[in-house]
Amino acid sequence: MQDIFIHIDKKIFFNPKEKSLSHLAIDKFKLYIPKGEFCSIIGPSGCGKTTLLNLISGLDNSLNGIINFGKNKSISNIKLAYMFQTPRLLPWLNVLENVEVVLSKEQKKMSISRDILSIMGLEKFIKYYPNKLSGGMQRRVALARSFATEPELLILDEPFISLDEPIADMLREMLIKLWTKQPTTIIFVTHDLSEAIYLSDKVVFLSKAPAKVIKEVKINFSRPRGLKSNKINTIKNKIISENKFILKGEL
Amino acid sequence: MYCLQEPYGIIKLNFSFLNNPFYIKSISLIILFIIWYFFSTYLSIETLPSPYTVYISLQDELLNGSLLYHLGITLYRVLVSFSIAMLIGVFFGILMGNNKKINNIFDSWNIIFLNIPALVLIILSYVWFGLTELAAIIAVSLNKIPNVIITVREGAKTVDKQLLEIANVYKVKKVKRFFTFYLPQLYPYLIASARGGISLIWKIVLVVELLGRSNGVGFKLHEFFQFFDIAAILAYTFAFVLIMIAIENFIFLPLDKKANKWRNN
Repeated sequence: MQDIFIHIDKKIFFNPKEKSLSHLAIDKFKLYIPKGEFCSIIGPSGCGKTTLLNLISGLDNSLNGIINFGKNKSISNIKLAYMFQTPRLLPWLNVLENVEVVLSKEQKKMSISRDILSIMGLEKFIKYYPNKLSGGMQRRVALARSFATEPELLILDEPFISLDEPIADMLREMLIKLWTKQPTTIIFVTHDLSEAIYLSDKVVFLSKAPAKVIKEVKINFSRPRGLKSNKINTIKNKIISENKFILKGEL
Repeated sequence: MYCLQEPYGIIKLNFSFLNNPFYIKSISLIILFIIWYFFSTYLSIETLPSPYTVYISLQDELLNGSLLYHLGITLYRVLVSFSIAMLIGVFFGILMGNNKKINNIFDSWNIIFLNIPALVLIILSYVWFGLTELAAIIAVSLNKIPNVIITVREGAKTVDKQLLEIANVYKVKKVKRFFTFYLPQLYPYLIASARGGISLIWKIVLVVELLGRSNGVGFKLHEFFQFFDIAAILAYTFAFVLIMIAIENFIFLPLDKKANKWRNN
């Protein structure tokens, strides 16, 4: 996989019965993500972030524009992992099966899924069915599933929301560890600016709907970074003092 | 449980065994046989043989081998037409549940077939395809297919697209996608239509045999009817009911349990 180049002219959800109810979700959106970059996307809720992710992942392919993954490559040639906002586990498979169900036969032989599950503190639960797990645990299984495929492109849609802080911190560190070990391009959607600064090479701020990029900030902060480092706050304050309403999608 | 306290406590009644559903079911069955026995001895008419007479008749038929032969033939017809009906019904049910256009094309056909009486389909099938095994199987399957389609179609409409998106994103192979992500969502509907299906099918098979076959339980029942041999009719009926109960208990119940393991494990 090469660099990702996204150029969306328009993304409209048409309402066939009432034209006035058609919704322009994305307008003149341009974003370039180099290979191996950790890119966070922040935007007000309802601005079209999930729509954008669905377009990038190929789940939705009706758009005016192009999304390019290197020379003439489309998403169907890319090893992709996508963690949705909801865990989306198969209720009839247990934890281990849920992680391994997305692996091919060759991948299963070399599978690191047990290791990932035990790093996430789920080794005692690998035979459990999802309906016996708490919401936070289901979320961790979904995360394990997206790591286990060792993807070229990893899309994470608010993965650490509604987890308690210690576990979320642990998973953030783990995400960075896995990313350093097997370099992957990551697109990470979040509401939490500190989290984005800790994790990313680049933070992209989106406007209110229809979504477009209003600012890109490179995070100049050498790794490894401390989770509770003061530098995170310094960077955060600097961004906010420059543009007070940037988190609301306004400059 | 009912129990009298001391000092009146000479009689202590304990009904706690009634909490076990197996006992309740067995007792109610025994009561049914007692009522039957009572009526047959009290009325003492030829057309209502006692349970014992039926048992003797069952034993005779079993020993001379004809019972097993005809049961086998009927069971074979039930299983073949059941399999055909399920395969075709599930195929079209999934297709129609997923695609509105296909549904619009076949929906009216399905309603017509659903409402044609079983007897009409049987007669037409024999008229067009001759008094053959094939005609019998076609007639039975055609009677069941519309029901399967309707149940499976409803199931296909409720399939969770979000789970299929997981298969899309991770580029899961088509076969695995169907059997691991899609079909398990239909299991409750498949089991419901299979259970309802097999009991409906065996009833239709008997009519088919009565009208145009020279073996099977339906054919024998017709023969016994002409000789007014009520005991033998009841013997064959019980024998087949027992087989159907066995199929329910040893095939469908375990399948159901397996498919629902994750719900209550």
